Amino acid sequence: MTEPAPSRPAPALAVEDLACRFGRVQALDRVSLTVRPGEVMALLGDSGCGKSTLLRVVAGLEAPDAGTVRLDGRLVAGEGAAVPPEARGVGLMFQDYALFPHLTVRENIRFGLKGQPVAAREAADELLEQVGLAGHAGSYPQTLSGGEQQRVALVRALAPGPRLLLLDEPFSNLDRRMRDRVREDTVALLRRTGTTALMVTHDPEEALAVATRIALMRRGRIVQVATGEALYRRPESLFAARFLADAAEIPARVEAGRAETPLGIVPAPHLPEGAAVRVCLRPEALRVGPPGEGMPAQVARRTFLGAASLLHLGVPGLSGPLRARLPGPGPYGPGDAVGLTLVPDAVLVLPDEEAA
Amino acid sequence: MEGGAFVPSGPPAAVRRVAVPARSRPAAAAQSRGPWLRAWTLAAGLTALLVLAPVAALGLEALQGSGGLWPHLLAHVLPPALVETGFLLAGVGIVVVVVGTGAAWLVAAYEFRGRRLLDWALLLPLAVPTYIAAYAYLDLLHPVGPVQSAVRILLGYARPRDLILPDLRSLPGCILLLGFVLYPYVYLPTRALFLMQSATLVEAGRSLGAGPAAVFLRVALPLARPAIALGASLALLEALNDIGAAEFLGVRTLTVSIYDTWVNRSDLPGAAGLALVMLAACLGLIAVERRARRGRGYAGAAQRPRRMSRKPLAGPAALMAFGLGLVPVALGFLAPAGYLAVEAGKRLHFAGLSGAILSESLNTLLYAGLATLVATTLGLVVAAGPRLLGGRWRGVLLRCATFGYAVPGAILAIGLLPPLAALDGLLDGVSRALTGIPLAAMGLGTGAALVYAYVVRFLAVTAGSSEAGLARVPRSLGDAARVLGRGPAGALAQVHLPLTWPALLGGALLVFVDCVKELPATLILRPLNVETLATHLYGEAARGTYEDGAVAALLIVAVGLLPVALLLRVSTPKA
Repeated sequence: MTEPAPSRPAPALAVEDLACRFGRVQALDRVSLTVRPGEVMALLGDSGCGKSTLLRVVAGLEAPDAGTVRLDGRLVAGEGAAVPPEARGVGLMFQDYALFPHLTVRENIRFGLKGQPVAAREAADELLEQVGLAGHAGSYPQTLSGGEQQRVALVRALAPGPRLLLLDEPFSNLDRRMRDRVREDTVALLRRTGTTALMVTHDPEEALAVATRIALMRRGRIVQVATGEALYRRPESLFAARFLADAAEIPARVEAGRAETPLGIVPAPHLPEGAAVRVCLRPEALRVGPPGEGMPAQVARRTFLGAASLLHLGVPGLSGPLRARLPGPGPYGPGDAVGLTLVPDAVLVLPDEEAA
Repeated sequence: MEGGAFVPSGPPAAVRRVAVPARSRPAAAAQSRGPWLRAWTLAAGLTALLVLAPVAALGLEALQGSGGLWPHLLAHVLPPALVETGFLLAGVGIVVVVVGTGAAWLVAAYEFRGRRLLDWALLLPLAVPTYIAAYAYLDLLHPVGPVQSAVRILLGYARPRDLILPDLRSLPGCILLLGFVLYPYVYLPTRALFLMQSATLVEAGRSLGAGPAAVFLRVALPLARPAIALGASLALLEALNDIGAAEFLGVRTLTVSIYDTWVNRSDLPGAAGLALVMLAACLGLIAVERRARRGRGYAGAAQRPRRMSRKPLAGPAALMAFGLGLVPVALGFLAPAGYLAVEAGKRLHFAGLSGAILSESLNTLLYAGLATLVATTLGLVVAAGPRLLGGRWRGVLLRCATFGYAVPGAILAIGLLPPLAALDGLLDGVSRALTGIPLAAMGLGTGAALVYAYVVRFLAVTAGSSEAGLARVPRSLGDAARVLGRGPAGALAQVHLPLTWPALLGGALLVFVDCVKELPATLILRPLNVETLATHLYGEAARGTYEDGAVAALLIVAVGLLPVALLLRVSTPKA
């Protein structure tokens, strides 16, 4: 109490220059990452990008070849430290849930509470009740539905009160319809318990829905760390832009801080003169109006999506079609002539990685 | 060796395993310099050393032979022995695979009157050691024995020499005899695998236009390949290990040659040399088996797949199915055991139960029980290490520790004698020097040597069943236990053991039965004047007074029967 509180609390998780190699695969390549207390961070990437390995290294289930892992400022891996998983105080929720088939739901949830006071057990029972599974406490996990198993796994991981909860693709075994609801419930539970979480996922939509910040990974490296919105609206690389959403790409070159496309000239202020770039046009970057406004185009196909519809547009001078989103069914059908204008904020101009 | 409880549960399980980057790295590698690892390495290393000692001794013995040893062996002994052994193995292999797989499919795919009976009855030959079957059949099929007499009466012949039937004492006779006694090694794991197979796979086959026969050949059989390979390799190792049957049927296999070279010609280096050749053959067999079941996912599924439903048979088809299934039971068990029962009954009626049989039973129980206990514990230790602590070279240590199964009992005993005699001498010397008390034959005199030999020989069974059982526990379960606060030992005790005990029990039972049945090593390594049931039987047979041995033989068969029921329960997946 006498010591002055540090001006900044130590990060819940600090990973520095982490490297991990399996045979010829460099699963982690000098990864550095910080997770703040109370934050839910998503590790986003394709399968095999190293995100699960990072999770396992943090949990202590894999040893890194180089680099350090700190939990709440305490060194747990690297520089001679190798704290075993059971002594790290992190929770891990497995993709296959890893519920013990020989134990009941209650026994599963109490598994991590050995040596803790009775109050912890009561808190665990309370958690079980909160997720609506108190009636299944005596059942064996195999007899529960997928969604129920997911909740048991979550409660089991949360019951010991971990400083950091790691989630490995926690929703991938659920069907789509169920996923949204379970996802919301999970986020609510994390908030309520004030748990810091690091979640691995390959689904950008899921990362956007759950995470306060997203770390995008590719081939063992972290490409960009940002809030979901920043990552979506201001990706720093073509890879990041493509990973978050589909876009039509128009190759161009930077001239005098601008890139010229058949649809018009877009500003490219931070890119070097003459650089090969791609102008990425997501559906929301195009405004569709009556012919005569902006660039003339023709509707090739319309896909009705319910709340919105997607227009596939042929534009003279462009090899592929562009796509634009309209609210509701929209006034245009196949064959209609329309005029296209760009929404400057939504247009992305990014260095062409492939041209380099 | 491995009961059905721990055979792979088929591709759906593998499919459920999520795509993770290929790992050459162990789970929980953060522990790689921990005290657990050091303890395990020490235990496994010592075990491996104990197992490899007799083999190394064999090599040394072989080197001590005169310069003319190898040319002599290569010119006169090896070629005929290798040819006989090769034909024997090929023949037995075909018989056990055809009979074992066919019987397994019959009881797994069809429902008929008597199927439940066949289900377990087909395991019964497991209780009959090959040497007992051979002795029984030699009497049964003797020209003046019951079978040939009956045939003559049926066909109206008066004297034995009027009708010459094929002699059992031949290579084909030996193949059939061994095949029909050893097929349960294939039947057991294959049946379990058929039963655990997901119904959807079979239904997918049917929906793609394959009939029942095609489903068997193109879906079930390839899926069962690891189980078949495992079972066949075990049966063939048994065939290689056999001395009694081959010797009595006049087939000069490699094993018989080794035994003969050592016992009758007192040529230990020659026997050791032959033994080394045989070891190579055994290792080749195991390599083939490993290859055949490579690349199969063994992790269990979180959700149980729906089981295949049996196709009901009625009328003549059901009768035929039952009859077909009864053939191996009759040949492998009913005939020899029935004969023994009749002979033992006559003997008991005539002379009563002798005290000798009682004390021999106790000896058998004692040595086999001790060996089972030690082998199960060590097997779990050596198998749990690589799984829980990880590491490729630790897997090599496991292979070394389980090397003994490839070493036939007689060879193992020959290899064990010199190091044990040296050890006994050393202990005696140390004791005399320190306390003045002479220690006579601590190893060879107390039966410790026998237990040692049993453990070395059957450690692979318990280690294998532990390994297979542990492999069926998904890795994430062990990881979950670690993250939830358990160390490696805690995870083993609270997660792995509760999930694998059926496999461990199965392995222990098989080892117990194997110890009771083991003849050559027991003969050579038992303490002086100590008889077990097997050695008693052998003594009787050697003296040509086989009828008295029928009681001992029947008891061995009975002991072998006890675990069969349990084995079956363990290997039957819960509905």
